Amino acid sequence: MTSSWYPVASGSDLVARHIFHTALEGQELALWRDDAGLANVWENRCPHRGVRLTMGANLGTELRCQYHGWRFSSGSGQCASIPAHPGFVPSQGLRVKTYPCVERHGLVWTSLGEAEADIPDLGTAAWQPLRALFVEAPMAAVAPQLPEQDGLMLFLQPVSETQTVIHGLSADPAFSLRQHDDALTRLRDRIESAAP
Amino acid sequence: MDFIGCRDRVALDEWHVVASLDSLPVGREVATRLLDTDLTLMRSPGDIVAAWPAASGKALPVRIRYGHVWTSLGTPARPLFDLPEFAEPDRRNVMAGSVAVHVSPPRAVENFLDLGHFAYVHDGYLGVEPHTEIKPYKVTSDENGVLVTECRAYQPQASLIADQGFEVEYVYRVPHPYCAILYKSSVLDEHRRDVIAIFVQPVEEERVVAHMLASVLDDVSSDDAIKNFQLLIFAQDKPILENQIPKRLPLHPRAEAWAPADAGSAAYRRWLSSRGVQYGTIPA
Amino acid sequence: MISLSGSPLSREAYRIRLLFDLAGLAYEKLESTDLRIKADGERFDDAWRALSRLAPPDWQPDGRWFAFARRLASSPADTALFRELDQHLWFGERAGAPFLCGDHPTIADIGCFPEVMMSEQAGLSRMPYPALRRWGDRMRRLPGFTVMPGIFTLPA
Repeated sequence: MTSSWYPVASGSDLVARHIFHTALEGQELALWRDDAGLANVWENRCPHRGVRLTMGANLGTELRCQYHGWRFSSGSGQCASIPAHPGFVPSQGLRVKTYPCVERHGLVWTSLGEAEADIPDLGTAAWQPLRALFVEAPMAAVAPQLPEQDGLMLFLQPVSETQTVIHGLSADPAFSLRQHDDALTRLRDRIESAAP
Repeated sequence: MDFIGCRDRVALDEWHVVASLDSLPVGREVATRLLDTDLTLMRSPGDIVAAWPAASGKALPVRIRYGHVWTSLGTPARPLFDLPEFAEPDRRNVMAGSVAVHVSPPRAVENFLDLGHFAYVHDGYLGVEPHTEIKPYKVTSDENGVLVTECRAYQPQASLIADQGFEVEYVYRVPHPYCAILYKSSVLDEHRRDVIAIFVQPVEEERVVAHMLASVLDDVSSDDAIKNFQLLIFAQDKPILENQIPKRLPLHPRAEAWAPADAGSAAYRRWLSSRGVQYGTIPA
Repeated sequence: MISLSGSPLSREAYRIRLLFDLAGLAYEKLESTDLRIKADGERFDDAWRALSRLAPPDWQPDGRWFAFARRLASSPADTALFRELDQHLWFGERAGAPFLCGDHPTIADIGCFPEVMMSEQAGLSRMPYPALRRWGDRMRRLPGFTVMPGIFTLPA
């Protein structure tokens, strides 16, 4: 299955001992950073009984599912322990489905399949991530409305067929985060009220 | 019969719970839904209840059992399962609530059978870390259902009248695709068991109303206290049930991961397959 | 002396109980499932009034966000309110104000908390509100934090 790289979060969203919840093309994702700083992009589903991992806990080196307390290791997604069976070593095949994860320009990028193209390279300028905006509209309705502006890069994350996130990066310190936010919020309101 | 939404013959030919008797006011029509079919219920004096599909006036068969109203949209081959404890004179029979949940009927039953979640979902009540080990237990099944015995769990507060933790012995029985019964050691009499039953009303393939019955030995607690304890426990399970993906229960043995503690739910899934139950499942 | 009774499934009772547990206020838990709040002989019929009157000084809110909490409680699946909360918290995180009224929690946070954490029961996923989700973690990590069914604890 071929796919593209998409931004799915800001790096600063992945705070310590937290699990970030998003979705890409209908696939729910659980993102988390371990205590060493490694970011993980996982399917938001425990392989045991299918409970959303975003209901669980980030223990620093492992994610723990809220249902039975099964723990899964950062990086590999392999099950490391099953509380009902202390000392039992789960087989290597028992794991959460993981996706590739690259942090670039302050955003966290992933791909659901074999990525056809590379992650955009915006050079060495200092790009500041804006507050990501969740839009209740399909990507095809959002893309044509995006403004062109120097020092502003906007990327779209297709959450589902009806939802899109706008990830903005600003290289122009003349505009504050709040000014960008106000502009993007107005844009979102326009897009949503135009939707059928 | 066009007005029946469900096509699963096995599910249609079962008795299904549609209400607790005490929730039905006398002389007033109450709407409910079963197997994708809208129904109307009407209770008359003398604990008589009539049921019919909303789209036709055709009377459905009705049984009042264990404090609940049961009906069928098809032709059940045998009577509803027995629950003899309900008739014991020193039992407290408490209708412990009817809760709507956005989940499939078999997922709701499997959660009821599940032993490994107590310390995480019912922390401080039915389980606590580090007492999480589930020792091996026994499972048998035949065409009438599944029986799970010799389950042991350490519980901080196994019931309303337990004031300290102790190791509880559990027996589970599944006599119906969407019903499960738990038998646990009574605090008052070690030779007898408290009975907690869940009767799952299959509203749609991914929606239920879970009706709970507590048939217990307890000469101290009020009905409300017994009911509220069960409602509290179930309210802790509800967000888990509503966050399972997929909502339907996959019956293929390798669709989901297994641990030895899951022997009971593995047997339940195999039994559903052997009975040919499809409604609410992803068949193997 | 404070006493409180209420159903373990009642959000009103939980708001009061959470204030007492977080603020370290001693209280007596009574058996009834009816909501009853009594402090030094005074009975409160309104849980919001009780929150306001019984909160110690450092738990008192900036008026706007406590009123906001009351609005949220009466329309628990309102996307516009959730968006407003999320935006406020996102900018707050960057300004050293991880709670609704600043750097420490108040009854405005407690007021909003049950509706936010149980929004799914009203059909609203919290996926579009990442700052709100982080705030929920911070609330659950406060010393003395207790749950009601539908909310889970987080390890420290």
